[in-house]
Amino acid sequence: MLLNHVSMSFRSIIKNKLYSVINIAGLAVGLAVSILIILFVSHETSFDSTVADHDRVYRLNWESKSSGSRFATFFNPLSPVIADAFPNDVEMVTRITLSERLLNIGENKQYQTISFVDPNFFSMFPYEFYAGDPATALSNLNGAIITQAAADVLFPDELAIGKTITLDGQHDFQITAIISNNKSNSHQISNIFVNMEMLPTVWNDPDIWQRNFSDQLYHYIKLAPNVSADVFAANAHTYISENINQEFGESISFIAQPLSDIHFTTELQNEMSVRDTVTGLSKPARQRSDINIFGFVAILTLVIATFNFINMQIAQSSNRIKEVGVRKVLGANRSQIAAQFIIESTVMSIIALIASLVIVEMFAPFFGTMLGVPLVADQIYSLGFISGLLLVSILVGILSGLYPALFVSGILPAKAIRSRVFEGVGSAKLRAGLVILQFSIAIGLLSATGIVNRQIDFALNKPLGYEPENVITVRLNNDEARDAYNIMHDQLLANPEITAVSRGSVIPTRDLSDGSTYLKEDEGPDFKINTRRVGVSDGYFDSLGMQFAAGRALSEDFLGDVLPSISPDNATVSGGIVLNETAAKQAGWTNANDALGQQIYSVFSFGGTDYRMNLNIVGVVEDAHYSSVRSEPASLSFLMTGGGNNMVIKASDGNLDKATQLVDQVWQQHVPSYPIRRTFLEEDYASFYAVEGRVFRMFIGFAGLAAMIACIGLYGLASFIADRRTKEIGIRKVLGASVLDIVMMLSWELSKLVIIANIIAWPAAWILMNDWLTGFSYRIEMTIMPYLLAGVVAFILAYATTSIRAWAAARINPIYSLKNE
Amino acid sequence: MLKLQDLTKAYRTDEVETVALNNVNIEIEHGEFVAIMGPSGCGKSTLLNIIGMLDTPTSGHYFFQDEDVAGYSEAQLGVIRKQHIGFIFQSFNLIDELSVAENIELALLYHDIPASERKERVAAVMDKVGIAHRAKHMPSQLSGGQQQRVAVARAVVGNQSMILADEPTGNLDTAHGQEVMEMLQQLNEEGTTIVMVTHSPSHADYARRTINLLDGHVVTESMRA
Ligand SMILES: Nc1ncnc2c1ncn2[C@@H]1O[C@H](COP(=O)(O)OP(=O)(O)OP(=O)(O)O)[C@@H](O)[C@H]1O
Ligand SMILES: [Mg+2]
Repeated sequence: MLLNHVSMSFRSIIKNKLYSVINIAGLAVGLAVSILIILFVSHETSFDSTVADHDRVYRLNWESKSSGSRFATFFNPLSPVIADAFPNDVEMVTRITLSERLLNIGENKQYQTISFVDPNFFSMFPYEFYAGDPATALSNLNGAIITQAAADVLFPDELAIGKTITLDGQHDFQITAIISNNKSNSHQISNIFVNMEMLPTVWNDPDIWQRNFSDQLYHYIKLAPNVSADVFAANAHTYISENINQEFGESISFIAQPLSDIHFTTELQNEMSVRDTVTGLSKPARQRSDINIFGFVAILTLVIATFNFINMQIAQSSNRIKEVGVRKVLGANRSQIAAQFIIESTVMSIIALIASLVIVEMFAPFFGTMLGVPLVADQIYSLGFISGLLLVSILVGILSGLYPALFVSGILPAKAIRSRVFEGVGSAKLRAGLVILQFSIAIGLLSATGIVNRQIDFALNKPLGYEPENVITVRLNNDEARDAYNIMHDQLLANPEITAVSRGSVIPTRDLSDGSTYLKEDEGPDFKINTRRVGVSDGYFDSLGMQFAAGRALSEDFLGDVLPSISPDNATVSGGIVLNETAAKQAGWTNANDALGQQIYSVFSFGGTDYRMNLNIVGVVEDAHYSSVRSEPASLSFLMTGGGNNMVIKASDGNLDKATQLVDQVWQQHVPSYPIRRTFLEEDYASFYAVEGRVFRMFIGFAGLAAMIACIGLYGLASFIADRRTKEIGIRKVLGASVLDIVMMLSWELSKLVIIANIIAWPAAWILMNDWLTGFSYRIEMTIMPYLLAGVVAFILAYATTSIRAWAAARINPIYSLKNE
Repeated sequence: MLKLQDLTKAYRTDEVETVALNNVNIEIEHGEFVAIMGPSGCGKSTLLNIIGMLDTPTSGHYFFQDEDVAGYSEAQLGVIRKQHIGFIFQSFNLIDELSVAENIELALLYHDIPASERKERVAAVMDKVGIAHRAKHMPSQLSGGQQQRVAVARAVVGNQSMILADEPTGNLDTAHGQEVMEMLQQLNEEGTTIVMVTHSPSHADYARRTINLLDGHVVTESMRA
């Protein structure tokens, strides 16, 4: 019987080709879009979930009580101390730190990120060993573990195992193991691992384990089951301040950051890079709200497509009333007819599911590239996912078959045979309701799209506060380069193509690091100005094109500007300082000029010595966006420390190429041992925002698709209505209606539903988008325009779609539509 | 009023050509009541459709009030049609979702007539065909004869000078058929030209002239004494 029903279904699907194709296509596209988005969302929300017991694994963070800054790193020697102190709470501790080093393989020199790890790192994080022994690979301190990707890059045509790599021209390591690559949904990006015990040697820092306040490492800790992370962090904090140094208690707090939060935390200092330099894959942290929005779009798209499908099936069923009558006369009972409708819709929705999987297969790679996430359709083919999809399709099939099953199957055969078409109980109202809901969603998505687009444009085009054009940045990543800075500076500046050369600890697009807290001379110790500190040299502001709101830049021409280096012998120093506008406002000087000449100071004690810096404010610089335009510009202070590992070179207009050549030459001359690490600030800036922009352009694409699906449905519905009203159209034409009259009548009838849909869509979208916008510090004013526009676009789309069908219906000569039966 | 001259209509479907009307010459005067008869498939409806400008001839001339409309476009024909010609069909062709009054008013909707005048004219024509007490009823609540009276009212409400009726009594019993024929006769007496297709010789007797068709030809024309 079932088989009979199914084969009947196929025949009926083929018989009603146009409806079937429209209906299956609409659902298939809707399903495909939903699946693609779900793939993306599940990729993003599955970050680090492959780590065993990941719900018990935390990364230790610390927070400065004075500045409120939170750091992804933790104090170098302290996690093993904590583990020893709380043996019942801690199952495992492991640490990692990444640093870019010069790597020699034979004659070949290249920069690579080298990661120093505790050997048990590989017990906590799930790498697969393709070659070598996990237990012993790092027990020889000169052993190195590399990923398959690193092996392919470093030793393209040879066996990597047993080969030697040399760090900084002096430390030899032998490859002892090859492991699997970093998963695309892991926050880890390391490819070359050596033993943490080599750190003092390679970094030439013998005291590294003695300095309790240095935080250069990431510390992961696995807690025993049922241990509360917050309680544990508090206990560990108490223990450290009581047993190691009470300063921890006064100025620092500890936080255990759940592993699954790392990918969703965007505001930590010292955060690990998100770019795997070997594979080139970037895994930027996301805002949870963004991912939620995508999930929401997936659901809405599915809802639109489902409504569409249900609507079309209901519409279709009333065309088949006669068939039902004939079947009944031939002896079919009500339940058999109901079953036929339900099975037919289910067969169609399963066909749509299969079609959608094909679409997903085709578009997953493209979609992944757009989002910067490697999406493979393979993820779908898990039992859970497939059965979930199947369940959804069957549910959609049953739901859309239910209405015709209930009403059409119940009609008396005599009535059924007599009427050519039939309006079931309330079916017109139900259909109108579904169309209104569908278009509410489509309009909501379209208006959201308008707002997203405007906001992203606004954010990306807002003044940065610096000029990335024609700026070359060079990493001063070794002593040879740092020592040669002054001579390179003079030599480069002698060229007319180069207008400014400077040096800074931080440049825009790179992480802001150290926090500094200042006090005002005329206020108590509780009035704090919390800033991020940037160490600069003469010409820093000039080379970055930063403008002053008041006062002047720090300059070597003013003796008092230069800050001498601070040491136990020279514990009180004084110099000039520049604040940015945000910092000045925070200090209470809303008018930048008021800050000029004011004295501020900072005090701290370290190793038993009290230090003090007295600072004279010489200028207030306009706010610049060092990090994402999503966040408020940070509060910044600039001190002339002379150091900094970034050289900034500004070329004059049109001379960037020449300047680049000069930089390369000067580097080769003075830093012959190291290849140059050079980038263009404009490119750095662009890649910084590329992902953000792309992700939301994607969003716009989806909203457009959803609207399109809604239109497919509308076309189907228009077809149905046109068919049902052929006779009426004929009568109207005989009575003098022109083709245009008919088209306007039919189109208006459906399009007016779209106007009603606005009433639902606007407030809902308004509330949601308002919420989304609060995630931006610089945001557009919400106006009615995007909503109006979305409404108008949806109306025009709906009107055009129905007009196409209505036109065809209106052209029919009434002598055919009114032919006596 | 109208004159068909050497009028031919051929349908071409899948290489087969059906000649529905073959060299037809007919002249109908203003105020005439003409019946068209003939066996099924002889071309009666085709002829009526062409006279009613719902269809165009393959060749020949069609003078409507001395104007040759044979080559007119659909839109041009539509304009003439809605001013001059009303239709009555065998299956009534009322719109199920509209009330009696609304069905009749529909014929004025495409004539740029203000709403108040429309209401007056609908009321007047409903009185005339004796359906006024049913104004708010839906077509499904009416008997076949009553429905056809609504259709007649609709056909004349726009002051059309000619009514084309394709088997207007075909779906009606004898008594109701009689009623409708009397109404048509009355309209004719008031000056409306009527061209009616019918299979019933007794209904054809209401007409002053009967045209007999066979295989697309006019075979005989007879005048009632
Ligand atoms: N659209 C068409 N395409 C092809 N042939 C057609 C078409 N319409 C009518 N015909 C043919 O033209 C001929 C005349 O048809 P018509 O409908 O005018 O006959 P009729 O006299 O009205 O018949 P009846 O009394 O059954 O209504 C018939 O042979 C018919 O099959
Ligand atoms: Mg006929």
